[in-house]
This record gives sequence, C-alpha cells and structure tokens, in this order.
Amino acid sequence: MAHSITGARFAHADGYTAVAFGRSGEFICTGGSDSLVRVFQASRAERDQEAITLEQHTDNVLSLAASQSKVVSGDEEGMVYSFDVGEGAGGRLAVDAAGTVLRAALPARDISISSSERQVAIATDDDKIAVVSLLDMAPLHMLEGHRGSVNSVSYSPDSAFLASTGCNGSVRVWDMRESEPACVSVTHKMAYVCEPGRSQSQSKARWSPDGRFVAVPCGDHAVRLLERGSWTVAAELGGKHAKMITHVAWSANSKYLASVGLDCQVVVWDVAARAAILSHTSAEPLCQVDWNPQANMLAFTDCAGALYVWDDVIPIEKGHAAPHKTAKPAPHAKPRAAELASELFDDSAAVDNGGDGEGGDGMDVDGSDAGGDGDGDDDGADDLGEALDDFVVDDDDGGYAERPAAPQWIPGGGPQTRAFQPGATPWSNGRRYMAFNMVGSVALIAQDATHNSVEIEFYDKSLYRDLHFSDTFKFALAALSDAGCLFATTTKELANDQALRSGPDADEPSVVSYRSFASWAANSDWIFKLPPKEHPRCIAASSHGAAVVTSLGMLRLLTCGGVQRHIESLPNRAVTCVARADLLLLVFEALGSARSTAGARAIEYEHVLMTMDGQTRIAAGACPVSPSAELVWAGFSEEGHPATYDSKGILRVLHRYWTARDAAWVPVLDTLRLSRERNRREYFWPVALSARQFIVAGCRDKMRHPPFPRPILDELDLDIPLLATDTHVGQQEAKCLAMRLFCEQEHAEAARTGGDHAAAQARDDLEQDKLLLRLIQLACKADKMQRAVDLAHMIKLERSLDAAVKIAVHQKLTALAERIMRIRDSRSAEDDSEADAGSELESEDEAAHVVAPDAHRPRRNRNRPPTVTYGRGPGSGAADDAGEGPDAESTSPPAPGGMVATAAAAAAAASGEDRLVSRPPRPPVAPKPFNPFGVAAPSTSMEIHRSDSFFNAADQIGSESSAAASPAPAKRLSSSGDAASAPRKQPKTGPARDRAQAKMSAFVFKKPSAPPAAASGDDDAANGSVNGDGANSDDDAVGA
Amino acid sequence: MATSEAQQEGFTMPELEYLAQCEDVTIVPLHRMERLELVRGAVGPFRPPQKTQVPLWLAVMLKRANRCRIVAPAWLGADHLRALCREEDAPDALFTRLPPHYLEIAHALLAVAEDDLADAQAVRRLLQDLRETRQTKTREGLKLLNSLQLQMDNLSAAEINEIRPLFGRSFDMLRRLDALAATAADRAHRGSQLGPADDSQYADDADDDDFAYAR
Repeated sequence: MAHSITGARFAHADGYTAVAFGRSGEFICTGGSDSLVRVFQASRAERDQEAITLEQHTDNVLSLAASQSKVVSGDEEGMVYSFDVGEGAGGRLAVDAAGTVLRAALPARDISISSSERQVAIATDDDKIAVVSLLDMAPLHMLEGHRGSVNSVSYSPDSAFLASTGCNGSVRVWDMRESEPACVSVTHKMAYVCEPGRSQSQSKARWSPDGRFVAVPCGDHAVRLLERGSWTVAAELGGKHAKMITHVAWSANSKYLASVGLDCQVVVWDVAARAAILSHTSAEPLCQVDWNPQANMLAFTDCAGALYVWDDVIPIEKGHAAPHKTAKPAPHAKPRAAELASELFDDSAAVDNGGDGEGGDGMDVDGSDAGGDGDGDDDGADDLGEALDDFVVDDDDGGYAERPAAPQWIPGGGPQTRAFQPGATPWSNGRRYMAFNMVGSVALIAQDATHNSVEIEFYDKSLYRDLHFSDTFKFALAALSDAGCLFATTTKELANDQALRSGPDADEPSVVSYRSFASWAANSDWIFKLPPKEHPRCIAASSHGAAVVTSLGMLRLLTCGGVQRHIESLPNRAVTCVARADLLLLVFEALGSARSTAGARAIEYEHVLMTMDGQTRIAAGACPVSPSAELVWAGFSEEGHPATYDSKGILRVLHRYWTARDAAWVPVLDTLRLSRERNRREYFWPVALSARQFIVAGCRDKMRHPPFPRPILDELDLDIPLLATDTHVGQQEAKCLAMRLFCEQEHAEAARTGGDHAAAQARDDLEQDKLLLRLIQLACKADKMQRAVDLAHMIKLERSLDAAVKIAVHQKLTALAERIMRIRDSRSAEDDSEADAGSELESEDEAAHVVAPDAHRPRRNRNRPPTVTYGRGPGSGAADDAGEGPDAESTSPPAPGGMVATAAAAAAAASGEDRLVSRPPRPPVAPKPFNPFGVAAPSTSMEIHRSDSFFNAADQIGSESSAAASPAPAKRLSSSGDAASAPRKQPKTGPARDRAQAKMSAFVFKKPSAPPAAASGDDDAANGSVNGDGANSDDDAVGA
Repeated sequence: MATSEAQQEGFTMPELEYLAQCEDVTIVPLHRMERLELVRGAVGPFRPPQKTQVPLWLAVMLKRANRCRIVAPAWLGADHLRALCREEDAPDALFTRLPPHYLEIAHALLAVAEDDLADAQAVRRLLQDLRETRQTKTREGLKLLNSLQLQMDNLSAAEINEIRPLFGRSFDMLRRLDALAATAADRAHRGSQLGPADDSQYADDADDDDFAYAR
C-alpha cells in the first residue's frame, strides 16, 4: 500500500516536526526542532532539490501554516514570523521574511491563516488565542475563554468561524464576523485531554475546506466531525488508531480525511462512507499531516524529523474520487455568488463590496469569501437542513464544494436600502474614516467599550488646527464641512459598516451633534436628541447648515448655529445626502428597483437637489448608474456640479441643473478604463471632484479603502468617455467638452449666487477657443472643411474667429476662410443688434420722422426671428458652395445688386446723411486694426478680394431685409429672381454691416468691381451705410 | 573645457547638491498659498491637498517650515529601489535608468523629509547598495577606457563626478600615447615604403606632448 511513499527525507533534527502545503500546492514547508523552516517544491520532479531554508527562528519550530503566498511559523519561544512566498528568478520559489507576527511569552502551538490572508490566529500555551492582522501585524483580538493552554486553532474556510481545542479537551468555536469575536459553542471533554507543553502529545482539530465540519481527534482515538451551525457531532471516524491521533488533514474537496498518530499510522478516511480506506504504518510516531490542495498527494512528518510524501494516495483507478478538485466548470461563478451572499448577510460587506467592479477587470473582492474554497454562505442556514448522506452521492467529479451555492434569498426579503456617507470606510484595525473630503478627514479610533476617539485632521493646516476628542456617544456618522463637523449616532441596522462597536440599541434615542470650527463664537456647538425610534440614516453639513435624514423619512434642516429651520417628509429610501454651500443633494433608491436572485442587481436611484434652507427644489429626477452597479459616492465638484460615482467606476456630474428641464447626468470619467489603460490593478477610492480633477485615494494590493495614516491623494484628470479618445483629436474634443461643461457650471453658479464672473468668463471663453482653434487647425490639416466650420460655429470670441480665419488662410483653404468670415459677420451682426437695440430705441422717434425706411429697423431688431439672423448653418453654407463657387458669384452680383443700388442711389445718398446725423451714439466707422489676411500669400489674397467683392454686393441685397421683418426668405427668393444666392445672404442690420464692411473696405474698394454704389460717384457712397439704405429702399420696392 | 581648473578635479557633494536644487519635486502643501512668481517661472497655487510641482530648494524650505509634505518620487520607493538593485545586480546589466541627480535629491529628501518617505531606513540601505553596485560597475567600466571613447549610459552627475579626475587625465594620456603609437607605426610603415619619413607630423605631436607635460 505504501508503494508510492517517497523515502524519509530527514528534513530536520530529531523532534517534533510540523508540515504544511501551500494553498497553491506548489510547495511543502516543514519546521523542526533544529529551529529551521524549510520550503520544498512539491512536485515529484523538483522535490529532491535543495530546500529553501529559513533561519529566522532561534528555537524549535512547533507550528506552521501556509496559504497562497504566505507561510507563518511559530516556535517554542513564542516568536511567530511570516514569510512571503513568491516566484523568484527562473520560476523558482523565493521566500522572503515578511515580519514578526507576534512575540508571545509562551510557545506557539498552532497557527491558522484566514482564507483572505488578512488574519492569523495563533494558539499559545497561554489560555488566549491571539488574532493578528497579517497586513500590518497589528494585534486584532485576544480570544479569551479556554481554561488552560490552547493547542490548536483552525479557521473555517470563509473565515467566519474559528475552532480551537484546549489541553483540557474542550472544543470552542468563535464567531469571527463580529468586531468582538464571541464564543458560539463550547464542547467540553471532547478532544484529547493532553499535557500542556509537549507538542508531541497534543492533537489538532481542523476545519473542512467546505466549511461544514470540524474534525476533532477525540480521546478514544477516533476523529469526530463537529457540524457547523448545530455544533454537534455529526459523524465519527474510529477504530483504526491505537494511540493518540496527533493531527488530521482534510483533502481539498473535503471527501477524505487523513489522520496520523503516535501509533505510527497514517489513515485515510472516506468521510462520506465514514470508513478508513487506506493506512500506512511508519517507523516513528507521526507528528503532522497535510494534503496537497491541488494534487493527490499527502505529506506527513514523524518525530525523528523526517518528511514523507505520499503520491497518488487515493487509488483513483479503483473508482475513488480524486481528493482535490479537478477541472472546474466555472471557477468564478462561486465566489461571485458568495460575495453576493455576504453582501446581504454580512454587515461588513455593504460598503466593502459595494465598490468593486463585479466584472471585467479582475479586481475581485478580497473579502472573507473570495479566496477560499468554501462556498461562503456564512450562515449556512440551508446547509444545516441537509442530511449528511446528501453529499455522499456526489462523486462525479469530486466536489460538493462547488455545488451551486446560490443563496436562497428573496427579492422583497432583503434588508432595507442601506444608506451611506460619502467618504466613510468600514472598520479596519480599530480605525475607520467617518468622513473624508477636501476639507480633511474625520477618523474614528476604537478605544474601549465606553468610548471611541475622534480625530479631525484638516488638509489646510492654516485653516484650523487638528482636533482630537473623546467620543462617548459612539458616533457612527459624520459630515465634515469647512465650517464645522456634524456627528450622529445611529443603530447597527442603519449603519453601513460592521460593528458599531456595541452601538446604541434601537430603543435608545439617537444623538446629533454639531461641532463648529468657528472660533469667534463660543459655545456654538449644539447637540440634539432625536425622538425614540427615529435614527439618522445619513447626514450632511456645509457652511450653510446641516441636514439629517432619519429612518422615519424626515429631513431635518438646521443652521450652523443650531436653529431648526425646516422639516420635511421624504420617502424613506434615502441612500445618501451631501451638501455644498447652500445646495443639498439627496439620493434615493427609486421605487420598484429590485434586487433579484439572479445575481444582477438593478438598483435605480433618484436625486433631489434643493437648497439648504429647504425653500427651493432646484432639480429632481432619475440618477443613473451603470447597469448592475451601485452608487458608492456622491458629492459636489468645486464648481458646484452634483456628482456621483458608481461601483463600475463611472463618475457623473449633473449638468445644467439650474434649468431643471435640461438637467442631465454627464459621465466625465471612467476609472476602470483608466486603470485598464494604466495596466494596473488599482481601485480609486473617491474623495472629491475639484478643479476639474477627480481626487482619489489610489488603493493597490486589493485594498478598497485608504489606509491609516492618511495617504497622499492622487488626482485624475477628467476624461469624458467620448469616442476615439485614443486619438489626439478625440482627446482634444473630450477636453473641449469638459471645459465647456465646467465653465458653464461655473458661470451659472456665479450667476446664481450673484458673484462677479465676467473676468472669469472672459478667461474661460478664451481657453475654450484656444482648444477649438487647435481642433480647427487639426481639421484644416486633414482637409476636413465641414468639421472646421462646425468647430468655428462653436467659437465664442470674435477675436478667435479672426484667428480661425488666419489658420484657414494659412492652410490655403480660401473657401473655408470665407465661410468662417461669414460666421463672424453674422455673429457680430447679432452682437451689434443686441448692443445697439437700446440706443436705436432711443433714437427711434427721431429716426422715424426723418427717414421712413429706417423706422423699421429697430422693430426688426426686437422681434427678429433667431433662425433668420443666426441661422447660417453649415448646411446652407454647403448648399451655397455647391450651387456656385465664389468665382462664379463674384461676377454675377452686379446685375441685381447694382441695379437696385443705382435705382435708389439718390434717395440713399440723402437719407444716409440724415441718418448719420440723427444717430450720434453710433461710433465712427473705423476699420479694425486687425487684418485677417495679413499673413496670406499674395495669390490667396487675390481670391479673397474677389470673393469679398461678392460679399459686398451680396450684402447689399441681403441687407434689404432689414426694412421688412415680415417677408420670409423664401418670398424674397422668389421675388429677386435669378440671384438665387443673394437673398439667402445673411440679413444684416445696418450698424453691423457698417462695421463688417468697414473692415472689408480695405480691400473692397481697391477693386474696380466695387459695388455700384461707388460708381454712383457720390462721396458718401464709400460709406457702407449708404449701401444699407440703398438696400432698404430696394426692400420697400419689393414690399410694394 | 567649460569647467574651471578647480572643478576639473571634480565637484564637492555640496556643490552637486546645489546644482540639483532646481530639479522639480512634488509636494502636498499644508497651507493655502497663492501662486509664487519666481525667477524661473511661477509655481503654485498651493491648494491643499492637491499636489503641485516645485523646485527642490523650495520644497526643502517649505518642508522645514512644516508647510508641505514631500511626495517621494516614484524611484525613491523601497520597492522600486529593490527592483533597481536586482536589475543592476544582474550579470551583464548596463546601468539602470535613474534621474541624473538621483543621489543629490535622495540625499536632500532623506535629510529633511524622512517622515514622508515610506520605510526610509530601507530606502537608505538600498540606495547605499545601489550606489556601491554602480560604483563597482563604474570601476569595471573604466578598465575599458581607450583613447577613442568610453560609453557608460545612465551615469548620474555624482557618479560622473567621481570618475572625472581619473578619467579626464587618463583619457588625455591615452589619446596622446595612441597618437604617438600611430605616428610611430606610420613612420615605420612609410620608412619601409618610402625611405626617410616626413618628420613634421611627429614634431607636432612631440610639441604637443611637451606642452602637456609642462602643464
């Protein structure tokens, strides 16, 4: 039977020898009385190579535990060290000392690592079990209860429970999910009663990898299986060992159990059949045994320091199932389900898991369930109902552990929507952040049963001094603003984090307290007790006051001084609330959003934006999140955008909320994409949105929350998920859009609060135009004219349009330059008409009796249909071009335009003079110093001249419309016959045209083909206004 | 040479540190401050907790006044240094890429901002390791010195400074000897071909040599 056992490898000196497989099954580690820990390759080929020797210990190594990447070993002195196992050069194992886990006073007898590799439990000869964090080696708990020394500890695979045996034979089970682990079961006189102080005559209990049983070697040399949940003996495996059983080990699928004893026997049991199927007798009393989790392989050690490895233990060919898991159909399905379960049932998981992208990028949870083999439904309620025999049948490919572990929960039966505070974290190592934003952070530090301490740390040290006080109320919620900090207690059910450390009961009234930072007013702190049964769900504070949303659906609004300003009833589904200055953003879970068993949760949200005084509701509506994602953060940008961040890593801002109808959530950043692009597994924990950057705490190494002390924050540039942002153009477009978004917001906010923003607006406009000009240049280079025109339409400043013309000319795109000029002209026309509207109205009376046609002008300004004046869209422009090129046009206009102009020349000359006199406020028509064609090549300027002469002529006709507001362009089109393009010319108001033409005059009048008005010989004809009047009179003719 | 006579012997460490003062480092200000107009350009504005880039001297000054935290550059992390050490240790490895003033910056930061560096002790040790490895390599590299060139990529300012005196002189000397050897060979060659050699070339070289020795 022992045919495949490799010969004794004397790994250590004579004495108790410990052995353990790494969870990956790649290595075996042993520790012995020569105070060494050795790490062997597990595979048969490499097993005989030299082992890695770790010489940290200075006394007999008594206990070992290995997980995926860690080895923890304890010695007789009580020193417990951890080692990191990784892959070194050439694919070989490399082991580094990671640190000292514990310095106990007494020998460390047994060690168990939780499946998440976060905690380690250590049994020493002391009567306490030490639980230490493997992340920072901080002691987490001391489990007290055993009388006399503890000789074994074992975590359940989901880390929810810990089993331990004492030397007096008692077996205890601890619930590790609580913040203060409690003993949930004690069975006295079950295990061996053994003498403390000698590992060789002690035994160890072990938890099965499927989480159902604890195998306890018992005094009658049998192994009993303690069932989870009921904590009673469910089965007994006995009759083989003659002497004390020192150690047991479960195969990875929990089908087999191996036990070794002082009778030198190794016995392998089929658990389901409750029978021994194999046994092997060795030469020396045996110490420890372990299964390779990934292979049909068993390792055991004896008291002479020898290591034996038994390959192909289970005779699979004889119909026995393999002891390890074979090809798994869906390796990811299980943890996912487990995670869901834990989210529902485990208090600690709500926020913790809320933040993780469930799919895609592989950022899996590091919660208690993800790493283990167990199926992770911690309460195991459904497991209990199953009889033992239930799993016997399952031998197809070995693993009832992978039985679809979908928890049986019902959509309606889930707990009430959980509320959360933005910037709060769950407890970790006795600390948590209650609030974290750009002002600073509020940290809660667990002290003892009666109080915690609160630490408020600011970012700007010149603003306030850091605060530190002792909190006897046990606050659970905090909201930090630059004026003060609001605290509230709440019940365990409402708090989203695990363990309000024995927080107030549901019967006890909750407390809301405000701590003001203002130093000038003494005693401005206040405190309120809420009525019984009303507990805060979420709270918010800003410089304008404080808001408390309670479990009775009340929204209580207070001032910073503690005046109760407003109360209002809300649907009791608030998820979070956050305030900035005078704005309060409330997010609710939408009605009808269901949690389904299918695993996909569809929570929908609604938002309400109101003022902090409760008087005005600014916006309300649906608050979208990514499919099957949850909201994990809400806040305001520095500019005042309400913003949300969901668990799929999308940051959104509520844009244009000031006009409720146009309010829309705009996605501005996709952090998952970002971390994909950076090719790093990072989680960005949101802090704030400021200065067009998303401020985050970057969390690596599977951490989901910022550590203590406060880390340095990272800034992520906003990156609107437009298309093709991998190209330069796409990036520029995204930048441009982001700029527009935030500028609009800034100006709207300034306008709303009555701030002065003219300077800022001018600056922002310029910045935006710069981006647009860059885009125009790119478009010009790529010869994308339409694109350039579209971009030109988006330009704000006239100056920038001039620059755009320059660019076009520089690129020798005359047609484009022309089109942009037209945009500019139409723009300036509009501006002028708006600016002059007032002055024209004043002069209206005068003008009306002096010149009849002119009287129409102001009226037209007032009720000018926007489509007419500003409607020279790219479409119509294209049509123009298609119809006739600039060259063709330049020759045609003189016919109708000239005729009209000459016909009205005399009247025009007279009335023009009058009008000029009658309107003193009109600035003298002076050409702007800027000449857009300063850089143009000579040949290009020739063309421009010609086309401008066309402009000029066409404008004469176009501006005729200034006299008549009523005639539609179509009508005029018909009346003016063959000059198809002319009537469609941008209608101009006089003053605007004056200016535009004056600007052009520099080159217009050099040409012989100048407008016929010039040919009339009148002095004033050189002035553009004459042409305008001429056009007016022509318009009259049309009207008649 | 652009450097003065004294500096041909190498800079002192303080001098090198002075030269490194204008390298930018990232800080997290602790006090709100407006933009500072400096001769080299504006820095800031300082808005805690947003990071900003300032020259090393300003960072050190602010740190001394407890007005900022210095964000350790990525290469000054223990993990990164460990990786660099490994890389540097690998057989046949060239010099790893480090900022030209890495020693000076590290020195300055370790002096004033030890509390801002994660695991400063390890960083110190690793820097020492790195420096020693690189020193050994530099010495090895110097063996390859010939009269034409000596290529050692990614050598930092301080390291160049270390080899400067030795290198400068040996290089000059080698070049001179090489020229001598070349002319000698040339003359021998020509002597065999044409008989009496043209001495002018040699005379030039000899002059040159005399001058150099006199110096």
